[in-house]
Amino acid sequence: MRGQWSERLREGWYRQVLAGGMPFYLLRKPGFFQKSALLAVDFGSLDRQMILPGGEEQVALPAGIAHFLEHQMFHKPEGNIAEQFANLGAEIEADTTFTHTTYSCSGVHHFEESLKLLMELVFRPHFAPDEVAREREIIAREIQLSGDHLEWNSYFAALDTLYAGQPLATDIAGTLESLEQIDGDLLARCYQTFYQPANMALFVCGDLDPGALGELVETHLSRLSLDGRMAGRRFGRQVLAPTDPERRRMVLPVVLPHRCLAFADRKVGLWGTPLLRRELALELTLDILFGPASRFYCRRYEEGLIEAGSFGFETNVESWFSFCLISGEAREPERLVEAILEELRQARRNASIAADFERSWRKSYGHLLQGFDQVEESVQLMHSAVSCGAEPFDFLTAHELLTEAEVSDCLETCLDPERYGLVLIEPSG
Amino acid sequence: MREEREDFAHLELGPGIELYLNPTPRFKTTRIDIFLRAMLQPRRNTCIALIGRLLERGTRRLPDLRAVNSFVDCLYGAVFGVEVESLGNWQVIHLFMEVLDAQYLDRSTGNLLSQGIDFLHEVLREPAQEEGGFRRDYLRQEKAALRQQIDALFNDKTLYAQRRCLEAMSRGEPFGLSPLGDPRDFRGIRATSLLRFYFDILSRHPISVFASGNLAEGIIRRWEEFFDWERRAAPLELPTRAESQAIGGPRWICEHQEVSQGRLVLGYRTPIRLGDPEYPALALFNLLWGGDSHSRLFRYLREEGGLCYSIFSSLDPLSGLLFVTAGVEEEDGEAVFRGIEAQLEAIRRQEFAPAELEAVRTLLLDRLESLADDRAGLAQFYYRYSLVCRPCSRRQFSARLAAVKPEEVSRAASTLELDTLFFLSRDRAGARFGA
Repeated sequence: MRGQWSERLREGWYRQVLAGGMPFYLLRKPGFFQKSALLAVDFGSLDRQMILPGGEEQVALPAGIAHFLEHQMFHKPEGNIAEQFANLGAEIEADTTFTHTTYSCSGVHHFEESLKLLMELVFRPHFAPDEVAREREIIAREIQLSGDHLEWNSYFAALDTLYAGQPLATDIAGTLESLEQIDGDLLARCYQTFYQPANMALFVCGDLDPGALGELVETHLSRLSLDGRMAGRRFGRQVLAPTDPERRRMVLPVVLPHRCLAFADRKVGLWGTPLLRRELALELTLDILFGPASRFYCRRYEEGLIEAGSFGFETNVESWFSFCLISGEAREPERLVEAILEELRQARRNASIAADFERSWRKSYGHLLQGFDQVEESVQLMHSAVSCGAEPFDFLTAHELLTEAEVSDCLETCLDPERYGLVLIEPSG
Repeated sequence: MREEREDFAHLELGPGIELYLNPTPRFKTTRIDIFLRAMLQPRRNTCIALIGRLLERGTRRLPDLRAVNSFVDCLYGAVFGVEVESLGNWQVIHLFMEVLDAQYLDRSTGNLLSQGIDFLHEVLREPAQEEGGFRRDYLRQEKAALRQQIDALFNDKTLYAQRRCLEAMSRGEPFGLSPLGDPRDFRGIRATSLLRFYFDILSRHPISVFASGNLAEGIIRRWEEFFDWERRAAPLELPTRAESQAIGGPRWICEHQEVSQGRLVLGYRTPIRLGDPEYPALALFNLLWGGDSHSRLFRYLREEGGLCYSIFSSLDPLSGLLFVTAGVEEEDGEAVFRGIEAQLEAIRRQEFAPAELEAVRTLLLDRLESLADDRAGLAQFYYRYSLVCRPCSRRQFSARLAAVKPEEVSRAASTLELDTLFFLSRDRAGARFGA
């Protein structure tokens, strides 16, 4: 077992690699009542190919398969395993992203039992045809429910402007058509390929003893008899090449027109702390130029050009793709788009970054420290770091190493006012 | 419960000002919540909604939005905000702040908490003004922004459906008034009278302050100084219980929009309120019926029936209202409605296994325990009990929950009366079912 202590945070994490190659991390928080665990499987909506167990046959996977599998894992011969978590007083959640499927549980008592149950959840697959059929119906309803959701529609349309037709631009849950191609057999084969210990990681946070917990997890894993299971092989993920940015237009039952500008980052393929630094640089750039303390935000808010509740930005930075989105509702949508672009042009010419770097850096650093004050946030932070090839406290290192030049560079290599995708959403009726 | 001491030390700082202190060294920040309340009343609710927004716009020394937001960011990402929410028949201005403890920084920053408290003091006592009133340009801008915030509710179809059901249920009762106010009131609201109104509330209405974190010696003195302004000797007495009118038969509201999926909201009334002896049973009933992913509604209507992806029940314990919200296709509306009522009936007849009740009880007890790590949630828990003037600690509430018997849960379920069905769908004819 190895670990790291941060004098800055007054926190320490421990790491042990379990049999089968699964890393297990624990962040100790003495005196806290709640405990939280997150089990991450390296399988997400981007993964649309695999090699079947026992052979060389390559199979293309339909959209939504990882998300479907996430839903299906809750079904066990004895019923829905969520009820067993409830009996322990534990909350259980699952989520599928572009790159991972995560299962999180938290509670105060019986945490060791909940942790064992979490392993049962992912290591005891069960694919009964009638339950698969039922889950297909439920997911179809899930897809339909998000059909009139403004931000959801805007988000995936924005990805489509940058990565037209690629898996990244497809709804993580898939489509009604792709769902029809998913059956129990395919789910089982995906399970064998991706749900292998070497393809997973476990993160825990709370007032717990690392040695005792590591032993408990190790013992329970061996009881689940994972040796000798047939395993398929995953396809290595490729770095996604953005296409020439495009426009998308749609009509939704909303109040005001909505615009989203999408920017593909030219710096991709990073890994480890450099990747964390890139993400941080983009976040700071956006905060300096468009955040609530920025000149743009305050001036445009006073003018009434931006609506505080809807205007915002986000960034998603991984090794295989990286992009930024700036969006909001506006009564004068074309003026909003032009104002954003003009701000980016000006930023390249003047010293906006230098003037506000310190303020934005302090805010980001403070928020990072505060994140480690919550057990559920802590396991997410650890997962974020490790899935990027870094260690949990490397977020601190990234902050300490970050320079103004790295932030300014984002204006040249990502937030280019000459190269952006645009989503236009108009109100119906 | 592990915890031996009470969550907060509670003391009265002055007439109508209550202080709750939780000194604990295990967090990296100190969290402060300040609640100022008034009764929900027409037109006044709009004034208070505007005041909440104006308090974020500037102070005497930080006169504009950029100055305020920059200051907060420079305090190492201190979290600061002013929210206006409705709790039962009350409207509450809620200021909150979380400030990092300087010992976690390697730079000399001075006492961040002290700077934060000074800032909050200025926000409350010295909002940006001109000529004896709020700044007129800020008021004009906030009227526009508030109007937009109200309109934007239309975009989230689930929230919109819930709001419409609530409004339909209210027969001129305060809970039907929005904490965001009504734009039709804007015309009559002026900067000078609004500021006078605000200072009047500040000097007479009940205020509750919660502070939790690495609190230094002398923190009580600090808060005494904070509120050391002229407060009239007799603070306003506000009623503590939201009474409900009798209803006559469920009402049907159908609304057409081009939604991707229908939204069904059922609104029920109960005479049980937070603080009543029956309340713990009601809380357990809500969780059992539709409170979470192991609830009966989830199990029978989603897992077994495949009829919805989203279905849940929610409880407003101060107003005595319960809602069931579901995303449904038009053709499944009737089946979902019957399913919801069937599960309610089953609980009324005590047709649930003891193990089911134990599961939700365990879950609720654990959630209560985990509040110790959630200071925002902890402040909300105690504040709600102070609203009904029935002080109840977490430990006491847990003991009451632990003692609830199955028949009490059934009795709580039996107090429910269906008031309103609201269905938002593509169907222009307006499907009616359940009659």
